[in-house]
Amino acid sequence: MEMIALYSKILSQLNETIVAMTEPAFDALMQAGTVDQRQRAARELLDVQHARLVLGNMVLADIAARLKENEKAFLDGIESLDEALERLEDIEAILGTVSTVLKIVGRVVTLL
Amino acid sequence: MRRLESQSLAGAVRAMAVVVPLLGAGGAAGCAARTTQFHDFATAGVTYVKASDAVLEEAGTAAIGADSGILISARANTPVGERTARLLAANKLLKDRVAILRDIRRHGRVLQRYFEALASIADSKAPESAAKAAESAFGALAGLSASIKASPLAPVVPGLTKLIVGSFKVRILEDELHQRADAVAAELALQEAAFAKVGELLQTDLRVQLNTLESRQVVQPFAADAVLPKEWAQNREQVITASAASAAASAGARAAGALRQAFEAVVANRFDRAAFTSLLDDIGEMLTIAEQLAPAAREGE
Repeated sequence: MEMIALYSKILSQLNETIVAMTEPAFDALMQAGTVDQRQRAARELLDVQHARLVLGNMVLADIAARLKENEKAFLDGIESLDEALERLEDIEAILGTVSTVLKIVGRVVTLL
Repeated sequence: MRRLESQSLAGAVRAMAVVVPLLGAGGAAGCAARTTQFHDFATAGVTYVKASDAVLEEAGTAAIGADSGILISARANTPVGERTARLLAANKLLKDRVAILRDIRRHGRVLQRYFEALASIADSKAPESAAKAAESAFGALAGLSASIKASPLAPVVPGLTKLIVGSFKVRILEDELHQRADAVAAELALQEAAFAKVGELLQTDLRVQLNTLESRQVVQPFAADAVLPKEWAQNREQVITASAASAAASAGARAAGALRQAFEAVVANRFDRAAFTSLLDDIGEMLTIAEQLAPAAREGE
């Protein structure tokens, strides 16, 4: 948990770094550099992006795992609510049945 | 004596006929207001999950788009021998990213089903149907006995049945709220944290996409000696106008936070229409941004 918080913090810093490294002004400076400087800048850009992807995946995977841990409660909730809905509809069924039976009894009584 | 008893019984029935509807009206209003809170919260929950799904989809697209922009920018200055390994490593990580985001989206569908189940109870027409059934049952009884037919309780029965069944409905929702309160609170706090990070990544990826696009299609062609491509001015306009969408990518965390606050309000029985409208605005903003990002992300490819 603490490691993930640290990764998340580093990820935020890498996000800021990659935005700065891809700024058109930075790119223009890189284009004006020597071949060696350009190659070094390109390698660093790719390394920062690689680290961003690795850390981003770790942070997001941790979030996904924690969401999944919570999932059982919601599946139980869905089951419980579905059952409750059936019970609620049963009240209708019971009253409907009572009504039908009473109507039949009413007809029989009238005939007598 | 018998007459007195009969008179007092008739009086009691008349009194009930007056008092019960009054009690019923107050109770029914309370039940309806509480049911509306659950209905509104569940509706907002379903809308939130749908909007968050769109944001998560865009997060994956933007991650790929940003990485492609970076690879294109660095390609000319990357030794030929390193290029394939760099590309394959990035592809592997992006496939993992898409799978993780898909996992979060799948979880969202479970959450959506939960909110829909809550809404099914809140929206159930059982109290109205039961009231009709009770009215019908009373009518059938009236057919058996003239005294039942003349009873002042006749008009009270459907309303009372509706109130009782309505209170069952509220009881189910309240029980569910108490049973799942911790899980819902934890989930919504987690959603807020998740979308803060997803939003940060999305915003960065969109910014990177725009940056690399601006360098490649606007700055470099302009700085070069060659004739400007005919779509240069259009590209420039797109890059500049798309900046606003990337700045608003944090709407997901705001919407999740608003849903968490709405849940707290439902628990405290103080979630009103104004709060519901404000919550829908926050979620709507999230969805609008996801819709705006979709074409922006494709333009960057």
